[in-house]
Amino acid sequence: MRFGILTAFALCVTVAAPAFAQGSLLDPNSATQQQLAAVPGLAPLAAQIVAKRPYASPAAFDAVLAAGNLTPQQRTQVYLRAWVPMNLNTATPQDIMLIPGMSTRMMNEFREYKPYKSIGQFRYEIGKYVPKTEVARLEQYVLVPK
Amino acid sequence: MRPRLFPLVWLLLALPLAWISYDYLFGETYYGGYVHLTGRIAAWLMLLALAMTPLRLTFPGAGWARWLLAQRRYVGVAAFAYAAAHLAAYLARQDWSVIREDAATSGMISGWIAFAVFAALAVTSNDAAVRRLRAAWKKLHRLIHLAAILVFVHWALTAFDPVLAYCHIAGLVLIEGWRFAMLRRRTPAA
Repeated sequence: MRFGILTAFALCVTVAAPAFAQGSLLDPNSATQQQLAAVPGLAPLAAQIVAKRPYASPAAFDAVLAAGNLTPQQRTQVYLRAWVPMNLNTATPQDIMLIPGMSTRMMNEFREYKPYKSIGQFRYEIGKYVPKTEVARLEQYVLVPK
Repeated sequence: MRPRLFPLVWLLLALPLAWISYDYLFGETYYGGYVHLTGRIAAWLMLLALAMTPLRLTFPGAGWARWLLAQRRYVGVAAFAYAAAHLAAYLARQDWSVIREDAATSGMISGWIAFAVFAALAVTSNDAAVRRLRAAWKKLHRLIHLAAILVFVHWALTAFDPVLAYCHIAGLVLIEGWRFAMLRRRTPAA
């Protein structure tokens, strides 16, 4: 049943955010102010986001959005379009939980398999629990430094 | 009883562990795959060991059931070896801070207790321990039923998706029910 819910969630996200599914998440550390302003909800904060660079983690970026009075739901919508790439080996539980659709169980799985040596390892470990489409969605939020 | 088969039984029980351990240390198997596989094989061997008594009681005259029961000690020790590999991989991989944090969760507490019981049973699975402990040996080895419950509690509470653990719990309930039914049939009420 949980597998079905995850699949349905992955499908909903894919339908709701086609740009996201194509791997076009904006990196707030490198996106232009215009690109950030085009993200729903970010227009009033775009200049501030650029001024406060660099962001070391998703939590650091989240703090700026929270200070800009975006609700958690609004911030989740932002993370469907813009995200600070997260190093899997140094990410905190708070960072991981910011990924849209993340559950505590999946967050624990992310942490259990540290240290990651390759993105292939991430695909294998997380692919044991969710379909490939969901692994691909999650993969866009993470990175394994070489 | 068929002593020539003993090395074959040991080989059958040990080869998969040797193979997957080699592939984990030097090959393509990732940590998650190794931990899942060793944990599952340990649980399967434990269920097999538990099923041997009701099998023997159901087929009292069958040579194969008698032979299988004679292998129970080896199957039990092998289950412990797989569980030990499962635990060793976890301990070697995780930071102590994570292990300490995990140790406070019910899923891991049940796993640690199950392993301690398994260890006590494995250490006393020899003729010398049977002679030394006498009647206490049988009482001690009845703890396998407690360990079995704890193993599946550990699995269900730590799994991302516990459905497979629930299926195995159903298997354990069937085996234990079968054992009780056979024991009751063998010793009718006075």
